[in-house]
Amino acid sequence: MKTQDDISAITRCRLALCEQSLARLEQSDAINTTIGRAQASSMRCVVADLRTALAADPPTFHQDADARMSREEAVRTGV
Amino acid sequence: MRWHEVERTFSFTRERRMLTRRLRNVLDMLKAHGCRRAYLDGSFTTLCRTVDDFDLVWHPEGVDVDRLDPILHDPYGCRDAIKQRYGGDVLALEVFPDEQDDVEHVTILDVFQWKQASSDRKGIVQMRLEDL
Repeated sequence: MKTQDDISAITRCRLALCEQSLARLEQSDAINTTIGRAQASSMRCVVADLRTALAADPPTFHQDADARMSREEAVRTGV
Repeated sequence: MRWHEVERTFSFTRERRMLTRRLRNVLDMLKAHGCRRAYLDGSFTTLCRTVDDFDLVWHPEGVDVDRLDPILHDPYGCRDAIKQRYGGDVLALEVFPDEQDDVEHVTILDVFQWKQASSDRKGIVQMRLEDL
């Protein structure tokens, strides 16, 4: 059973791979051609979808714990 | 898959039948410009009853790209227009030359085969357009 952290890590890793491929397309000579631009633009769609998926992930356990600790810290210090 | 199999497998609701007709229109147009292979993914290729689009990737080999509908030259910038005109995403497959492969690269076909929320892989539908 995968935790939300595992799922976010998988998505982040996939996003990095896609961004790498997009960068390669954008830096290649092919970007001066119609097909090269269409291919890069297509990969941009994929990158955008992965970014959206990552942003839609609910806060992880660690983020929850961090937020809770911050609130407790704020109460303790009277902020 | 052959076209009749795609039609038979995925057209099991009225909405899906409408989408299938739109998919066929895109495939006919791509074939007319020289395309021989395309790949299908997304909820359209599942048993979900409620589907509002499809994810299609076309292989550029043999395609007269400059004569394609110009909105297909920029799937990201024209995403909404493409969905409205064709019924789903219509993406161009990137093909990296083998000799430059010293770094790991993924293509949209790899992405299509990624299972959501899992490191496992899944199948996608390959269509040979000469069967149309």
